[in-house]
Amino acid sequence: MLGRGLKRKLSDYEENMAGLSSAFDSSRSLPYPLKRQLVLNMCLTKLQTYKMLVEPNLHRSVLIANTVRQIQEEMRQESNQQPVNICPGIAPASHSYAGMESPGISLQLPSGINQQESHCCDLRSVEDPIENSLLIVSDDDMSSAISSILKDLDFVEDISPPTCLVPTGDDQPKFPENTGLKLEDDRQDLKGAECVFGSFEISNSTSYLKDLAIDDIFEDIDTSMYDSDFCCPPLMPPRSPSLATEEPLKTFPSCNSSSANNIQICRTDLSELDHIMEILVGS
Amino acid sequence: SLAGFGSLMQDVLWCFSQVKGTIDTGVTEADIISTVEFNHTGELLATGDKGGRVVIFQREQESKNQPHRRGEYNVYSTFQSHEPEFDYLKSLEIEEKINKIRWLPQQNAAYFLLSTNDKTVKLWKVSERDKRPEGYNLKDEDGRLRDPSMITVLRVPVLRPMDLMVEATPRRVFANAHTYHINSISVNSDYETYMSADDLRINLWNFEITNQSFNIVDIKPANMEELTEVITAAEFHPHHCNTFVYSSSKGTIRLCDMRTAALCDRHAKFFEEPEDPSNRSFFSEIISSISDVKFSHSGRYIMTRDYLTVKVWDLNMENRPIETYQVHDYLRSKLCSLYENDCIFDKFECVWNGSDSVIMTGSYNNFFRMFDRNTKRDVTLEASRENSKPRAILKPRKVCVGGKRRKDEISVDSLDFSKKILHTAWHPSENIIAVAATNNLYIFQDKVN
Repeated sequence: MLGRGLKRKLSDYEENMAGLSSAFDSSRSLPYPLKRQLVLNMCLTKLQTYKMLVEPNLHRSVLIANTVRQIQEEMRQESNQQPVNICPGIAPASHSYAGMESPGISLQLPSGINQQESHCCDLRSVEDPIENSLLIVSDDDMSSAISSILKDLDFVEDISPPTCLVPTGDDQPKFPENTGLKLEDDRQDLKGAECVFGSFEISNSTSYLKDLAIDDIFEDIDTSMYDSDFCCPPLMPPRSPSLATEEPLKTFPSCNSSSANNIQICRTDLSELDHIMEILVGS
Repeated sequence: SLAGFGSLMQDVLWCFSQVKGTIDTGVTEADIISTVEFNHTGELLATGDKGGRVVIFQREQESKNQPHRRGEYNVYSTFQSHEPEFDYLKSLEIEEKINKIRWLPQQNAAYFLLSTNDKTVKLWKVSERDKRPEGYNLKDEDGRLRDPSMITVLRVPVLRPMDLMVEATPRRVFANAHTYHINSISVNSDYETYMSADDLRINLWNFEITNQSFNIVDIKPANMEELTEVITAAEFHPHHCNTFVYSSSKGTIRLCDMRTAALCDRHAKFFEEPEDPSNRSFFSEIISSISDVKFSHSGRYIMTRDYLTVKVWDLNMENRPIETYQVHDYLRSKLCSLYENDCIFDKFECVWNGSDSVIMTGSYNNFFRMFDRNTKRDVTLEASRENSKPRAILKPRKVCVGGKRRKDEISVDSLDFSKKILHTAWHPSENIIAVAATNNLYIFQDKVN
């Protein structure tokens, strides 16, 4: 996603930031405003990076935005108390943090940082590069950084969301009546099946455990014949339409129109099959 | 052997039992374990990984011939739970990583579990098949269609024994209900419903209904620019099916009662500890974000994990936790570095032992910590291949904070922050723990005397 040149700049920057972070952690006499500025810059960099992602991490973005808000609030209070520039050592406003709208990284990379990488204990050499590198961030910049990332997180919701049952007043959470009926019907169907498949795991507990749909009981049994395109013209005229077992019978290919004897055998077989199917589906 | 009730930390010696996963130094991203969970009896142990796979281990029956191999866990079933998806509407890739697995209590011969990625929850049925039907009419044993004209006899297929096969089938798919990333799922004690929580919303589902869910918590503001807090974890009370808790990124826990209102935006209880001004820093809020919340088995307490501590709360006391345990306080002086490299956002989980007397959580350098609530003793142990000789007793580890480092201690700066233990699990009734160390799963047991 990032060009190689940008990536290299970023990794250099990351290394430098790592050095600065250690400085922050290990140094006790780093002035507070500088520490704050460092943290602020880190926050804004992270938000900037997240903005370039297709899907920024909401949790992290909120935490970072809150940190920026906290610093922003602090700086506001301070500027209310004293109008003087908070960080006198920092470069003038011309280096101010560009708006978040620009696509590339608009940060000016810290200069002179490389010299101080391994000398975190030497405070004097640390402070100056930090001051040189840290940028003035205006209150507006901070606000726009926060709102920019949070706006991005307002994901386009599905146009037709799954029906979330809208509560009416203080009703208890309920599921619609018709769903209850549906479950009832299925349970009836299963009762007959239970007798035949006694040794299977079907139990009287919650229906998802019973493999609710009828089809699932027949999972083990090969029904591909009924699914296939290969279809003999039905030998027998359709039986009475009320039978649920009618469909399979229509395509039963072992009935062959070639001999009368076979027709006779088929008739008997089909009626036996009818009977079996009736038991199985519990009608 | 059943331990746990009243067992004291000093009596328990943890031993290496097993390790699952490759020894290769290079870690395939897809193999990184993202969740670990024992089922309610402890017979099964499930793991989910970044590649969307679920692996279930089953404890073998203890045998008198090999008493020292106290019920080892062996692979029982492996299946692909989630696949990577592409959301064309938003032009987003949906990760297949399994965020959470939760078992349903066993009610018949089959096992059921819920597994979820960022967007979709699935109910899986894992069942054994040791019989198969033989004697189809229209197909022969190889599955080839028989010539219909050759069929002269009608027969009923019979079931014959076969080699044991374990199959996993998706029974329900609960999709399209979460705009944001799912962080938690929790099965209700009624065993009929469960909830799924994302950053801003919590939905209640009925296991039977996949095309509808009930939204019970919604903290999304009308204007996203006003968003300051997200939901980080949620769980149902173990016994009261109307009660649940959810934690936030601001270190608060809300307990909700579904009987009071359909949309539980108003909490029944609000747990928050006042901030300690002496510990205030730029990162205070970030480290207060709760990464995990768990009810005790008794239902009387909740435990929360934030970046540096584990806290135990009494449901009857909202203004502060009753216990606070420091997991790795030596990191407090490294927060800026940890913020810079994003480790500060690592989400550690925490677990109770079966009797709620000991709590456990992970740390860095493949360390994990246990705290005995009664004796107030704690121990740091390490999951590593070096300590992986059969039944080797784990030696307590110690991090040296400053000054002179003793021989066996490790200094803070030497800790490997890429080796993080985020996910652990504790057997429901025995002293057996499962610890996920990146792509390896370690199983430790207490020493059999």
